[in-house]
Amino acid sequence: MVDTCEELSRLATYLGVSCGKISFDGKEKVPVLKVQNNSNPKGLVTVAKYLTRSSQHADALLGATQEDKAAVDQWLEYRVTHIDRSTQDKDVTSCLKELNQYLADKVYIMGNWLTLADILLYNGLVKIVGGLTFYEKETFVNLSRWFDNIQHQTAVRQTLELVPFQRNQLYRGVKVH
Amino acid sequence: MGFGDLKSRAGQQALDAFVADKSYIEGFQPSQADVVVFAALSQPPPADLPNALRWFNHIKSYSDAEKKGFGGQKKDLATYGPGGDAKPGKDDDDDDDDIDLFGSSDEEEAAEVAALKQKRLEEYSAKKAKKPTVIAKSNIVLDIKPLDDETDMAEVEQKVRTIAMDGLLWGAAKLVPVAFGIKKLQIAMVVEDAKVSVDDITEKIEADYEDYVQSVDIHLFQKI
Repeated sequence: MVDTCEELSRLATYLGVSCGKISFDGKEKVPVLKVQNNSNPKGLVTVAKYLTRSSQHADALLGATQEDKAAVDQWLEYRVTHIDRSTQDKDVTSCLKELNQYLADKVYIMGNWLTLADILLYNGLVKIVGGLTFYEKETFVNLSRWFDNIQHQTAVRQTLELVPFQRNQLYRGVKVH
Repeated sequence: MGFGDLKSRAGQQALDAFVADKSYIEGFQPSQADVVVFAALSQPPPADLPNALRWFNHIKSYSDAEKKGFGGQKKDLATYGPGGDAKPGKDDDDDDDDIDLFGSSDEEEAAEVAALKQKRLEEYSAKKAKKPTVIAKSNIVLDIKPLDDETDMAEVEQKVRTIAMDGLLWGAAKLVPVAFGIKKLQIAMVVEDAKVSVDDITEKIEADYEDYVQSVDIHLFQKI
């Protein structure tokens, strides 16, 4: 399980906003942001979007048009519902397969530019991708490519460790998902 | 090495393989490298090269102004792509292969070693020459049987002793009774193996003194 509070404070650093106090609500198992007007957004996606909207990069990271906004939202939801809630290996694998297929013709989740969707999906997948073998990374080649690209944006990765990616001649011709 | 001719199918395939795990030609953000390679492609890669197409569309999404703002420097097209940066591991392998495990590394050293070897050989052969060679000798006792019982054994002995050869030394002799009053002569001799052949002596005795000697046998043959 990703430490969502840490993730959100990393996001705040990336965005260049002060994150204030982020605490973890044990009962609902969600991070809560303490805000001045006491509206206290709850939940990873909610807090993330709140922080992003309060930054300068809102349009770029959340999507400029309505369609883009909807698409980004969809992926943010995907992070919470599919990745975070995957308990079994086969669920995780099916997520990775889906993402791999989706990313075949895209450099970023939204296509050609970095959005909040990339950041949150990266954070959600760090532990999972870090645990893949080189063979598995070869089978999810598009996912690996996308992940490698995101993690090398130091502002996004910050203090996390780099996951190594290496193409291996032995795996040439391996069946890609 | 580069991609080769990017207008050809082979070049585009090389590009496709290259960008399969990379979002950009160099590094992790768009740079002039992408601009250079993009310019080399006159049209989008075909759909059966999905990675190349993806990369192409991505770079295409940037405006010309943005493209100008990419970092890096424009280099020759041939420097980009597979094999453009030399694999560091390969050089190490070559070094390992070059090291001759069993050969001497220095020519000077080899000359020194050869000189030392020669000196040692000379010392050895000199030492060997000083040592007196041991001459191989044998102690042989011959059984000489007379022709008949009336042969004078003393005479036989005398005659045998007249056989003189270089390296032959007669020793003691004695008479050994055989049967019916016949005695055989047992005579010892010391022979230098290199100089004297025992067969020669026995033959000589048998030939020269036919009248006296019936046969000659070797009773004892000892190497000294």
